[in-house]
Amino acid sequence: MTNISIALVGNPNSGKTSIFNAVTGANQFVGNWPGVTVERKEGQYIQNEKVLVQDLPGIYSLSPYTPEEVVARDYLIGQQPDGLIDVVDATNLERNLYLTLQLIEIGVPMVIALNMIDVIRKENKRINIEKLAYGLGTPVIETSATKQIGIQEVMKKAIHVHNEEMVSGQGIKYDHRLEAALSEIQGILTENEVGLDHLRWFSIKFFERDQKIMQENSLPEKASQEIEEIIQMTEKILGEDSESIIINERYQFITQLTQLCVVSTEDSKENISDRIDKVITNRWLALPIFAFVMWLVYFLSIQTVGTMGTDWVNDVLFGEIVPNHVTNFLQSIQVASWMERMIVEGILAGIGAVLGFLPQLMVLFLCLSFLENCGYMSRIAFVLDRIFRRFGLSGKSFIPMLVATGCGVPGIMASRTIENETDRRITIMVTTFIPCSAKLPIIALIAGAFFPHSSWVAPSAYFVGMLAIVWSSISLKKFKVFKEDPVPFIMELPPYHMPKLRSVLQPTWNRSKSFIKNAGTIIFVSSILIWFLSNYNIRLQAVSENESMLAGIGSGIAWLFAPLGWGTWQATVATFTGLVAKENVVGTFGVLYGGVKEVSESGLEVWQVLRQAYTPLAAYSFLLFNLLCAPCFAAVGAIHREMADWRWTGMAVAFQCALAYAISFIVYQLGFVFLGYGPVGLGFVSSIVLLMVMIYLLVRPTEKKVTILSTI
Amino acid sequence: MSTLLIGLGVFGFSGYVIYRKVVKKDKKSCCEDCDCAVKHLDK
Repeated sequence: MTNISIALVGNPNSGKTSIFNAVTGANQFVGNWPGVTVERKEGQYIQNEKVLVQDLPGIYSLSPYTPEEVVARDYLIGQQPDGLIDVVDATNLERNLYLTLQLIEIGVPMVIALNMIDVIRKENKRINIEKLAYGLGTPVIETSATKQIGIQEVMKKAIHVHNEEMVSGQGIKYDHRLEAALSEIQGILTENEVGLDHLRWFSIKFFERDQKIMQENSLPEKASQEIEEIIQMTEKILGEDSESIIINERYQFITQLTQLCVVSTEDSKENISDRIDKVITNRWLALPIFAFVMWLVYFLSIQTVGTMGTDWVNDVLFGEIVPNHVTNFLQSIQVASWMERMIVEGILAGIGAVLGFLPQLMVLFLCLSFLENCGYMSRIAFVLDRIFRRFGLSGKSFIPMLVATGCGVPGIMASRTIENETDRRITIMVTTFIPCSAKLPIIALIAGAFFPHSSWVAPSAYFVGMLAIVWSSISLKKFKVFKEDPVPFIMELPPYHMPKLRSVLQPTWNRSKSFIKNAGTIIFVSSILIWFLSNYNIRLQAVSENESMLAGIGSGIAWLFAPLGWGTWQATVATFTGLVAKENVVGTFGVLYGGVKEVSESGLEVWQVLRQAYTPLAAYSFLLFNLLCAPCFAAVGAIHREMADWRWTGMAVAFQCALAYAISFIVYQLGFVFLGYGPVGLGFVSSIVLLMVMIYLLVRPTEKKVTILSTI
Repeated sequence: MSTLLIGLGVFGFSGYVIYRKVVKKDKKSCCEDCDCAVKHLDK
């Protein structure tokens, strides 16, 4: 038996990735909002290695508008899978069947997975799948990806349909006048050997005057003219343009079919989700509720529950148990003292400083997973659409930001769901302002060491990120290069549900695993390098930290950050090592300040050393700079991949660094005077000027886009 | 001897990490949502 490829196709948020995970045993990220999958992915069917399952990005139709829709259509038409599983959201049958009809037109063997059937049953509805299958001429299997209903059956059916070469939708017929036109177009296409594999689909595309298809499959002029005449005649008879004729016919067919198949035993009435939404998405309450929820999330993870775990890891595990045992072991086997110091003061201090924040991170991941899975986060995209639209972005820009709370790289990639090119560019530039999981240890370190009793500091990092996004979007949109109206944002709100334990724990574990992996690899190597550079001079002689190579390098650049309040070589080095991975900022502090033996028996004492080295204001300024400046190299690489242009990538990184510097400068210099650290000086005046420039950029009139009309 | 053995372990592992990160990059090693058993087919 040769390899079979079966593609999962369907509308966004219909449950394709959940089915993909169930049939391949993979752990692809599943989100309860549309647009999670932006690339095609492939995995082997667990019950038969020769069956390859493809997870395609969600699409609404085969007339693509967004890059991820192009990915799906190009694959379906160009590379052609052996079989299709059309994942249909049973709770939105009419809209989902629009894509189904288009898939049937392609003529690839297909099975329909009528997903979320459990929700339909809960709503006291019933769908007659025999009638549905008969009407569509395609096998239909009831499935529930979350409850694991019908998943294996649908796979088996898809393989069977492929083996039997069953073609779907033989019985689907539209208005006889349209069918006559399509039949004539098919004849012309056959004569010219165009689209022979998907004749019906191509005839419909030519009838719709699909420019991309017509360009890719050029016909002789005479044939094109004949087709145009057929189209014009049909338009005249049916009184509408060709595209509308096709859309109307499809929807008419779908309406008749659903009327026959869907039986509702209850009148439609307001369900629990609707009632919750009345409060959660309320015009006035939505934002305060969102602010409270995010405060609560950070309060639980950084201030209370997570902190208990972090204190234990810092004070006991990496403060006493691990260093003591490792030191005793190394001494017992008589390892050279430099090696012992490198392991204890370098590697363990660096890794310990980063892993110490794991309990806080896990609580944060758990809370975010819960909010994503229960359906709250998709409401936030809806709520923010109202606000984002005011400053020129659509709510779609929130989806990448939501993904970026885990990691900036998939966040930047998620910008592919945005149709508008300028919106997409701005979104890529601002997405990493939202603190990713690697930045969380920096937040936790500053909040814990400098503001132990203030619950506002950690959530403020999140809201500063949001404000930076708002400011950037408004200001950038005023430049004519970014001037374009936002596209409408249409998003379905999935019903609220209590998430299953597994679907909350799985992403929490995946994200934590990645954090631990980073600590055990990148931080491991970085800690050795930082320890070496901070303990040796250029002649490789062991020296004190202040005479080390690292002190020399850091001091050469540190003056740049002096106006921000933290112009020490240690903080400068930490900021630069953060470009490798953001966790490195904390790891570097762990090595540079944790290695001071007299005072650093426990993590808390490292915090004391930090408190002696920096004021709380300087620490907050450091936090702001590191949150907003250029992301790690991996994310810069992702920016380059998505922008596909080094000039734009350079502009994005320069913009992020400049904004980070400006905000940290303003906060530090204004705070310096207003909090009574010192008198008014040049720094204060400069910060006022800079603040006024930023306000001007925010409120200035928009640059007009000049449209040049060419004349012949 | 023990210094040599531990040094080999530490620096050998460091070399391996640098090799994997710089020379033989994981397709998506930077992405925490990624399951590397699954092939990503589109750039």
